[in-house]
Amino acid sequence: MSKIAALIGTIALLMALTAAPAQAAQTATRQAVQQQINAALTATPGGEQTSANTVEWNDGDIILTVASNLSTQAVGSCATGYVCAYSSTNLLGTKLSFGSCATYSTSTITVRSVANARSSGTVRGKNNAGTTLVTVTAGNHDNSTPTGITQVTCS
Amino acid sequence: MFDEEELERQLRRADPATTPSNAPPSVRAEADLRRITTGAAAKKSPQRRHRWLALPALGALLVLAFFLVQQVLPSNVGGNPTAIAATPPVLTGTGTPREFAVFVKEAAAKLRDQEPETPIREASYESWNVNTDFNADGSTFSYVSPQEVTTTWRADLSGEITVVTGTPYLPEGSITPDTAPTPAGAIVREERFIAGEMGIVFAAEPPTDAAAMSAYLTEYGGIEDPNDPAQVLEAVGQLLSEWTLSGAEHSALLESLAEVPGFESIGSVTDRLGRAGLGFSAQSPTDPRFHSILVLDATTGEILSMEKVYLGGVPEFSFDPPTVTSYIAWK
Repeated sequence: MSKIAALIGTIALLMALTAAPAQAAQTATRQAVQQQINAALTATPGGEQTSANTVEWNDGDIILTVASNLSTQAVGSCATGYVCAYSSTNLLGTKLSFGSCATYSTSTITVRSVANARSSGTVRGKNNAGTTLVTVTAGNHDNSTPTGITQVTCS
Repeated sequence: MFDEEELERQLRRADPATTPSNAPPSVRAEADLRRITTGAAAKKSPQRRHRWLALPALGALLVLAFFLVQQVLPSNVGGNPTAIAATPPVLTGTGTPREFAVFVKEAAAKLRDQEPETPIREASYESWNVNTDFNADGSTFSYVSPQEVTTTWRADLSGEITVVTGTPYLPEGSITPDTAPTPAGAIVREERFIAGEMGIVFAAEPPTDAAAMSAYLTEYGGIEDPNDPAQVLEAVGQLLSEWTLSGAEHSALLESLAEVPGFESIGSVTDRLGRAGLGFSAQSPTDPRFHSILVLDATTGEILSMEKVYLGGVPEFSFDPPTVTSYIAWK
C-alpha cells in the first residue's frame, strides 16, 4: 500500500472516530483529539501539527482537521456546560466548576488556568477591582492566566 | 513520494460530496426514501437486535445506578453540607520543634552541592485536591480527586503532561470505585503541547542566589505580599511543579524561605508518601480561612510536600473544618 493510500486510510479511520455516537462524543476531550493527532503522525510520518486539532502534510497539500465540534464538548477535565478555574497551570490542581452563567468567587484558590466548556459565550477572570485579566471564549481554555483572579463571570 | 494521480483518484473515490447538489436521487436513495416514508421496517442487523434486547437490562442497570447514586451521593442532591471523613487527617507533629529559619539555613548549606547540577524542566508529583462543583440548581458538590502528574517541557514551551488518576473520594468518606468516572491507575490525560502552548509560570531558569530567588518568586509567581508565607508557598508549589531544581537552586530557595516570617514548627511528621519530615505551618495574615503546611525532609531539608488546610469561613464548602483540601508531594 502506498503512502498516500495509508494516509487516506488513516484519515478515514479518524473521520470515523470523530463521527462516533453521542455518548462517545460527550467524553471526547482535547486530550482525545491530541491522541488522534499523535496517531495520525505516527501512522503517516512527515506531517506537522499546525494547531490543536490540525495536521498538515506535504507543505499543506493535505490537511487533517480532527473534531471540529470541540466547542460544544468538555474542555480537558472541565465538563460540558461548565466554566472551570484551576489552582495550577494547564488545567491541573484544585478545580472549581461553575454550572451556570453568573459571577462566582474563586478566592479559595490561586487561579492559574481557566477553561470554558460552555457552548457559547465568553468567560472573564477578574481581580478584586473588577478588571478583566483574562478572557476565554466557548470551547477554549487559558493554560496560564495572570495571577490576581478572584472571580469569574460569563456572558 | 506522493503520486498525484493516485491521490486524486483515491480522494475522488473517498469523497462523498462529488455528486452535484441538483442531481436527481439515485435508485438506491429513492428506495431508502420510500422505505422511510412508508414505515417499512428495515432489516435489522444482528447488532441492532442485540441492542434492543439489551434495553431492558440497560434500564434495570440505570434504575440500580440511580438508587446507588441516591445512597452514595446525598450531598449532590440539595447540596446539604456534609463532613468529609475521608480526607487525610491533618498533619500533627511529634517531638521537639525546630526553629524554621535555623533548620532551613542548615539544610540550604547541605543542599548546595547536591545533584542535579543543572535544573531539569520536569516535575513528577502526587496531588490530591478537593474539587467543588457549583451546579446550575444552586447545589454544591465536593469530591476528592487524587492524581499522579508528570510534566515535561522545553524552553519553547512545548511539552507533555501525563495524569494518572486515583479513586475519587466522596464527602461521606466512601471510596467509590464503582461510581468513579475512570478506574484508579488509569491514564486520564496524556497531552502533548506544541511550542508556545504549555502554560508555564516560571519560564526563566531559576537563580542560585537567595535574594534573586525571592525576587524571582515574587515576579514570576505573582506574589503580592512577599511576607505572606501562604502566598510564598503557593508560588513555591507552582515552581516545583515545573522544575526539578539543581542543588544550588534548591539551596537558594530554602535560604529565601528563611527570610519569610510566619512559619511555625509542628515537629516531626510523616508525609503522604510515607517519608519522614519536619512540618512547618504557615498562616496568611490576610486569609484566616486556610493555613498551609510545608514538609521538609528530616535529614536533607529538601522540600517534600505541601498541604492546604481549610479552617472555616467558606459557606459554599459542604464539609466541616479542619479539612485538608489539597496536598502535593513531589517525587
